Amino acid sequence: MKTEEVNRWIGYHGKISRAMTAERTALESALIPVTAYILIACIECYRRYPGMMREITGSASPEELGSAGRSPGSQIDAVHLWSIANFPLLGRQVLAPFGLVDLDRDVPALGTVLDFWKRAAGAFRADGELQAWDAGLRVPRYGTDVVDVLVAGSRALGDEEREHLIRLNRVLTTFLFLLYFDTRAGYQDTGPYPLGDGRVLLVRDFNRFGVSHFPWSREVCAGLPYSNLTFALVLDGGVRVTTNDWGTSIADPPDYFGHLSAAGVFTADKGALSPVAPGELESIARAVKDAQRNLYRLIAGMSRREKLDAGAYVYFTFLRPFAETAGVDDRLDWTVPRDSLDVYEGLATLERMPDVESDDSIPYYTPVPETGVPT
Amino acid sequence: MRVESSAVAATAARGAMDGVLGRGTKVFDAAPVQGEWRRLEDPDDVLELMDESAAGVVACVTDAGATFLAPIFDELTAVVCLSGTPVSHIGIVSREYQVPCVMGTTLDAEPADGDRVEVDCTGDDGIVRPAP
Repeated sequence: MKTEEVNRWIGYHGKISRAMTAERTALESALIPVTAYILIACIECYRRYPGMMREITGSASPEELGSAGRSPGSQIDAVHLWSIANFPLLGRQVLAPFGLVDLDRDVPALGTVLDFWKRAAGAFRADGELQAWDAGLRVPRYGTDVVDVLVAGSRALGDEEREHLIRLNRVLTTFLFLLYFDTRAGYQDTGPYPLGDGRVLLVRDFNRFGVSHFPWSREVCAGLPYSNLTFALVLDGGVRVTTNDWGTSIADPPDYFGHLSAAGVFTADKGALSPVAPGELESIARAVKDAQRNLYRLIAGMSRREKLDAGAYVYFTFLRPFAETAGVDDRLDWTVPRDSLDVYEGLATLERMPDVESDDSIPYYTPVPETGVPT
Repeated sequence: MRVESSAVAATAARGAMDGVLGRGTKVFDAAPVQGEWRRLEDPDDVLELMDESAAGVVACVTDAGATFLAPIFDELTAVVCLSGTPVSHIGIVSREYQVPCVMGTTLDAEPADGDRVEVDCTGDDGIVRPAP
């Protein structure tokens, strides 16, 4: 990718990310030092993702990987796609003022990242767009084959079943935020999928909450009956829903459960979607709640350094689902911190992300200059 | 500058007259709820409530992350967050739990822990005031 094209994609991502970040703001948690671990991880991503992506692409094309994300249970999803492009750009943005961007590798490195992202994102969406922002805030992750299965397996719920579904949804929401260190990597919404009868399908995936490569999952997740659950939420025509590339849906009116026409819970733990019996939902919720309490105690007992490194690992391994699908995850080094040690101590004490620059004339991500390092 | 000062003074005066303690952006419409004010600063505060009970508590937190209140969210009466927006992680969680939540709250006067307060999300803003 030439400098001009790299800069075009830097501008594209910067414009969208500025708007999304300005809407959300405030990343911190009193439990987890989010800002510090994000910056450390993003520097690792800038310095290491290009080489890792080249290794992954040697075994599977970005198009193949993006397409693989259209199956339930995959973690190649909108959140991970957004992140593998934006994390390196953010890391570069942190390094640039300190003269730590290597000019010789800047353009080829960014070219590798942006090319990988662009090809995978296009195949993931399969609608001619690259991100929800381009498409009126819609993420059409699943094709009709999956949507048909989800709708066919959904039905109107009685009051008690509905209550159990809501309770499970709630505890999974907080548990997945906790398991993924206050990120949206573990659960996200896609759609809306119009059903042709005025109703829409909103799909909520809770992914990989069993024992995984996260060391902390071994202690708290072993007793959970599932690792992946997919909620099919069929909403009547009285609610409007949008979704973004951070997996967040916005409903108008906000109480979308008040517009639930039918619902179903499924698991992709064994590959293909299979239904989860409504009678199981309450016991799953109890198990998740117990795991959540144990995990909270575990994280609260970590030192700041341990939390930083765990959070940085979560962020850095956003590329891991791509490597796993390509079958090369075991060949790659996921150790973090590794290539951020020169700036680690300085970043480790940060408590707050700097405010988003609201002046549109100042690029959110600095473009590559024709000559010289970005400042 | 003079106009701004006047505006701030007017807002403060109106707050005092209305008995408003704080104001921010509500996450969703909700009827007024009343509970016991608790400023939660670190995980030990949450662990204490997890072991006892968070029922009836209006939790005031500084940061907008989703994780800090995770194990007690289902018991809380309301959340008052001093930063963030409705699409911050804590706003997303409060919507799912249908726990009234006010984001980016500015407190004119902070209640003491244990004070009874009302969180009112019926109007344009989310309002914190002493419980009637």
